[in-house]
Amino acid sequence: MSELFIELLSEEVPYWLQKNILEQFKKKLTEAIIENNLSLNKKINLEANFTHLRLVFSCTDLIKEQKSIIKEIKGPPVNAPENALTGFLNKIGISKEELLKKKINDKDYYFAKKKVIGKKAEDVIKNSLEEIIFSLNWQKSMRWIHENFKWGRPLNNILFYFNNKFVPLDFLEALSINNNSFTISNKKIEKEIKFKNFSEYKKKLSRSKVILEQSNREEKIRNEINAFCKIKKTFFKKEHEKLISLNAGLVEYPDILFGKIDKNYMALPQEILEVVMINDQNFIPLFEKNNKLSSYFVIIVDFVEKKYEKSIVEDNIKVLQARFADATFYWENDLKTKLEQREKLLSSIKFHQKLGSLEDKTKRMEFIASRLANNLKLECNLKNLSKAIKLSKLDLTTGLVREFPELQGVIGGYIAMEQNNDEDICLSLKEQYLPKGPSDLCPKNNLGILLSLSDKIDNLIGFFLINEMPTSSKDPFALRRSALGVLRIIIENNLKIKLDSFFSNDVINKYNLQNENNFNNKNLIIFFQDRFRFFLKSITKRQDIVNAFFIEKSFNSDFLSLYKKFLALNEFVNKGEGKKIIELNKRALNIVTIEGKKMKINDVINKGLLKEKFELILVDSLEKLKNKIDTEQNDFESILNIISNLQKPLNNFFDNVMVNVDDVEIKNNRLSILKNVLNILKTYADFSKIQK
Amino acid sequence: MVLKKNALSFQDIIFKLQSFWSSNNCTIIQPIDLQVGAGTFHPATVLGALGKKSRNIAYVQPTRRPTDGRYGKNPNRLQHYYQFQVLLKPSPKNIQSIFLRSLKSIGIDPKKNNIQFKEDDWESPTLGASGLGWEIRCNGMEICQYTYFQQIGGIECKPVSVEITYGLERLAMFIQKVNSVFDIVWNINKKEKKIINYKDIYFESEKQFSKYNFELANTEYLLKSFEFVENECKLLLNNNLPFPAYENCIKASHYFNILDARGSIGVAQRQSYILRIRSLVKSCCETYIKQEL
Repeated sequence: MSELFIELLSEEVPYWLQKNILEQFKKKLTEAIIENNLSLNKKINLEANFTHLRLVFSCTDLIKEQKSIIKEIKGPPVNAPENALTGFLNKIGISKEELLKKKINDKDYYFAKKKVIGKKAEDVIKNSLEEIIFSLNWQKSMRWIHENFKWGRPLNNILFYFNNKFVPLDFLEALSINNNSFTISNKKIEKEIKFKNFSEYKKKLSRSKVILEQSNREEKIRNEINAFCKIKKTFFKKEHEKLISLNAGLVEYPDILFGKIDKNYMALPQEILEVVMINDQNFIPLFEKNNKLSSYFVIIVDFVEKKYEKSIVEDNIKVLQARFADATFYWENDLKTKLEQREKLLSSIKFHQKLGSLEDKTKRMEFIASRLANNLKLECNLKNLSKAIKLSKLDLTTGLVREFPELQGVIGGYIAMEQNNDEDICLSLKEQYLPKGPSDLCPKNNLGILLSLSDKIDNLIGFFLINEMPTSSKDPFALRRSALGVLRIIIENNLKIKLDSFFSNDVINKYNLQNENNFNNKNLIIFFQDRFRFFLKSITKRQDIVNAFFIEKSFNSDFLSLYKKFLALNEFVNKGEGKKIIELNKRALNIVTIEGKKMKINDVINKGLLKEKFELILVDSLEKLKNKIDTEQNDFESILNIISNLQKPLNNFFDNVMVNVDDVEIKNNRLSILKNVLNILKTYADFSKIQK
Repeated sequence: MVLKKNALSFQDIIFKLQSFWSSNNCTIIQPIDLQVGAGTFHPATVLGALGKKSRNIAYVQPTRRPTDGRYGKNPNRLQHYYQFQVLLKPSPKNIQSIFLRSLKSIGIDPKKNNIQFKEDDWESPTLGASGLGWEIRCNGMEICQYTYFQQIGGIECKPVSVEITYGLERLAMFIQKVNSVFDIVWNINKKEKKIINYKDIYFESEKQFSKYNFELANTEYLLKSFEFVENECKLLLNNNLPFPAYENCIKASHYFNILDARGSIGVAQRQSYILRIRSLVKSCCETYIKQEL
C-alpha cells in the first residue's frame, strides 16, 4: 500500500482562481489514478487542500506497481494482403508463428498476444503530473520566466513524494520551476521545512503557522469572531460568510484582529461605511441586534506576533478613516445640491451611445412603469411613482456615486430622505437595483417593484434592440442578471403578467431607433426562458426535472404560472407519487416506440373497437383527465393528482389487456390508447426524461 | 514636526531605494523630462520591456494626473507626485523576496507588519498594455504595485519583465506616521536644525496647477496641440524614429489628461481619443522592435 503526496508552491494566487484550479487538478489526478488502475480500492481516497500559496494533494491506498497483463491485439483479416500482416508483425514485434486466429462476424482475423509490463506507479503519476499542469483551464493566467508556460501566478516549486520517498520531476527544469524536496513555512517565519512523508509535512507545517485546510481556517476566524461578538453583544451577518471564506483564502494562518470606528463617522449612511470596509479592505462589519451597524469590525491578517497587533490595527483604522473622511466630504457636498436641481444634468450623461441619455432612459422607464402598474393592478400612488422615476437616476450625478458606484440607488434614497421626500419614494430609490445577485433580496414595496422592473425591462429591450445581446462569454451590460432579477421579482411578489406584451411596438417606438424592425421579441422571450431554466435548476438542483418540464419551445411568457406548474411537478416527483407514473410512462413509451416502427398508430381512439373492461376504464379516465386539463389549466396540483390517479387503470390495462393480438385493427386501437396516454402526460411534462 | 525615531525622510527613502536596487544589479537612471501620467510611460520601461535584451533599471519619476488635483485641500490626493519605478527583464526567480527586502531597507519590516498581496491586474488602455500582479498593501494601505508585463503596445512581452512601482508619498506617510501628504518631512537640515516639509515645496504649486487644470487650461489650444503631436508622431514614424515619435505619444497623452480634467471630453469621445493614442504607441513599439531585431 503506497501513498502519494504532491505540493505546488507559487506566489499569491487570487482566491477565486486557486479554488477553481484545485477542483480541476483534483479531478484530473483522480482520473489518472483510475485510468491507470493505481488504486487498491474502488473509492479513490484523494485529499486536496489549498492556501493562496499552495496546492496540496495526497492519496493513500495506491499500488506500487501496475500488474503486468496479457493483452490480445487485433490484427488484419487472415485474407488481407501480405504487407498488411508484415506491418502488423513489425508493429507488435513478434513472428508470424506466434499469432492466433479468431472469428469475428464470420471472418477470420489474426490476433497477437502481447505482455504489457506494468509500470511503476510513481512513473505513471509523474507523466500524468506533467500532462495535468499543461492542461488546466485557468480563467486568467500569466507567463513569467518560460516563454509559453502559464499559471495563475508564478509557480515556484513542485514536489512529489511517493511511498515516503522524494521523486524528482525532470520536466520542471525546462520550465524554470524548482524541484526542491523541502517546503517553506509561513512567510513570516521564513523557514525551510524538511520531512519524510505527508503526515510529517502536515505536522511540521501546522507548527510553522500554516493551516492547510480552508475549512479549518474559516472555522478559526468564525470562532474568534463569535467569541468577540459574545462580549460586545454584536453579530456578523450570514451574508458575510463569503467574506470569511475570502479572507481565509488569502492567508495561511488567519489572525483575527478587531478595530473600532470613530463615532464621528458613524453618522454617515451605514451602507457607505459597509462598502468601504467590505469592498476596499475585506473587513467584516459587525452589527447590533436591530441590524444596525456597530462600530466594531474585523481585520484578518496573516500570522503576526502579539506585540505588533496594536500598531497594525491602528494603521488599518487610519486607512479606513481616511476613506470615511473622503466620503464625508462628498456626502456633505452632495447634500448642498437639491436632487431636483440635478435633473438638468441627466440629459448630458449618456446611458449608451445608441440608447440616448439618462433623461431619455427615465422617460422610457416612466412609460413602462405606468403600463406595468396598470397591468399588474399594483396599488400605488401614481404621483409618487412618477416622482420616484424622475429622481431615480439623479444620484448618478453625485460625487459619492462617482466614488462608490456600487452605492447607486442607495445614495439617492438617502439624499431624498434628507430632503424630506415621501418615505415610500426613498425606499423605492434604494431598492431600484435589487436584486443585484442570485442571493440578493428583491424589492417588496410596490413602488420599488415598479422601479426595479421598469429599469431592467428598459435595459433588456434597449440592448436587444441595438443587438447588444450577451454572448456565451461576455455580458457587459449584465443583461442576464437583469432578466433573472425580473423573473425573481415576478415570482417572489406573485405578479401575474405576460412579459411579451411589453415587447410591443408602442414600447419599442419610445427608443427612436432607425432599424427597430429587426427586433424579434421571440429572442427576448427565449432569453428569459433560458434564464428561467437556470433559475429552476438553481432551486431544485435537478437538471432532469427541468429538462422534462421544458417540453417544447412554447412562447408562454407568464412566468409566475410556469413557476407554479414547475413547483407542482417537482414536488410530485420528489414525493415519490411521480415514480409510478414515470415507470408506466416508460413502459407505454417502449411499446409505442417499438410497434410504431412496424405500423402507423392511429391518433384517435376508435371507441367502437373497445371491448375489454380495463381498456374501457382507461379510456374513460383519460377523457376525464383531458377535461380537467382543459378546464382547470392553472390548478396544477389537481391536474397532477388526476395524472396520479391514472396509475390504477393503466396498471390494470397492462396486466389484463393484451395489446399484441392478431386482429390488426384492435391491436392498432390499443396502441392508440397508449399513444394518447403518452400525449396527455406530455402536455404537462416529458416524464421519460426524469431519472427516478 | 518631529520625526518618529529612526523614520526616514522623503529624500532618504529615495536614497535608500536607489542604493538598494543599485546593489541588486540595477542601473539607476533619471526620469523622463516630460509630463507623464505614470512612471510606466518612461521610454526605458515602455520600449525597454520589449524585445529580448535583458534590462535592469530603477528611477524616480515625477507623475501628473490633472484630475486628481484637489487645490491642496485633500490630505491624500495630488495632481503631481512621485513614483519609484523598477523594471527587471527577465523577471528573476526570487524577485518576491528581493522586493520584501527592499521594504525592509526603508524600515518596513514584513514581520512586524501585515504585507498583503492583493490581486490587481494592470491594464493601460493608452499603452495597449496589460499585466498580472498585485497591489501591495501594508496594514491596509496600498504602497506598491507589482506587475508581470504580458503585453505592451499590443506586442507580447518575451521575456516577461516585472515592474515594481512604489508610491513614494504613500510610503513616506506610512513610514513617518503622518496623516497628510503635506506633512511629510522631505528633509532635515541638521546643520541649520531646519525641517523641510512636502508642503514647503509643493503646496502652492498644487493650488495653482489645480486651478490651471480644472479652470484655465485653454482647451482649444490643447485640442490643436493634440492633433499636432499626433501628426508629428506619424511623420517621425515614417522616418523610422521611434524614440522621438514615442515622446509625442507622451505629449498627446498629457494633453488628453488636461482636457479630461477640464471636462471637455464626452464619454463617447473619450474612447476615441484613447484609441488614437493607443494606435500611435502601438506603431512606435512596432517600429522600435523592428530596429532592435
